[in-house]
Amino acid sequence: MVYRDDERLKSYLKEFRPVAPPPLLAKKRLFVRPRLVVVSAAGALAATVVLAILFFHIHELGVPTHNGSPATQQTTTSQPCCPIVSLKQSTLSTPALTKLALEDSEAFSAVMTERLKTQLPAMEDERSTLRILAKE
Amino acid sequence: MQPADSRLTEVEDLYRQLGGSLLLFGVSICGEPSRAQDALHQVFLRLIETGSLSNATDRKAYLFASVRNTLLNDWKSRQRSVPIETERIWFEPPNRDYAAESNLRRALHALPDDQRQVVILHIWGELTFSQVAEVMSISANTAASRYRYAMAKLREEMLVKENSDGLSG
Repeated sequence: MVYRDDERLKSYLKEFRPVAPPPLLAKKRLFVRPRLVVVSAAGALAATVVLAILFFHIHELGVPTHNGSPATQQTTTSQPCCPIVSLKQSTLSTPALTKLALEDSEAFSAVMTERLKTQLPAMEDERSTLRILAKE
Repeated sequence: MQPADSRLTEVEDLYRQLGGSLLLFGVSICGEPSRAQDALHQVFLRLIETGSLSNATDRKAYLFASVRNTLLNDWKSRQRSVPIETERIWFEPPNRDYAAESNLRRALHALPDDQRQVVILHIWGELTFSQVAEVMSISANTAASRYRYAMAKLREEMLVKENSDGLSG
């Protein structure tokens, strides 16, 4: 039904209500969220980089222990025939040792001497391998 | 300077009150509901952030002008016009008469851009002719005459459609 009079046509048209837009705050949250995401992502990235550098450093040079020698991963293998002798496996980084040997031969010798102490079988015990071999 | 909370509440109230007609006005300018909605949100979020609404003497006219300027700037930056999207509904029709809604949308679409904008501002935006003039940067007399031409054309377009429907039915 279309009215001939402008005012009546206007009233008729006003019965059609414009479709409402979606809520404003939902949009606002979307605007705020990327900022938080960017800040969090930057923080996480920075933390990852720092951890990666530390991790790389530790594996490259070894972490010094309280007695000054580099720490190594040590695995004690049980020896049923000779339980007193403990053989320790070393996982010192070869490139790090090479570097040390090239740059400071004395320090390299010191490290190797320290390593040898832990690599050789223990002699203190009555039933140690060396004592038994010596008796034979 | 208003506190942020009361400013937010005020802006949200205005959005609820005028959002529909501002969106309709935006669609009538750019042709795309999604772009009109983006412009509308851009305007309101700017208001929340800056509180510039407190400086406006006529808030309603200011909001319509802001939406128009935002869309015109956007249009200038894109350097292209888009035909009005007529697929999506623009109105909630009385008595769920979607045929009438489609008829009205088609009739509005047939109007020249400036006449369509004046009609929307005056009828659904409830702006006076002097407010329409302010928004459109024209004189109040021009706004009134564009409105009269637009109403005549709207009536004609809608009647043609009704008659053709009556004949075919």
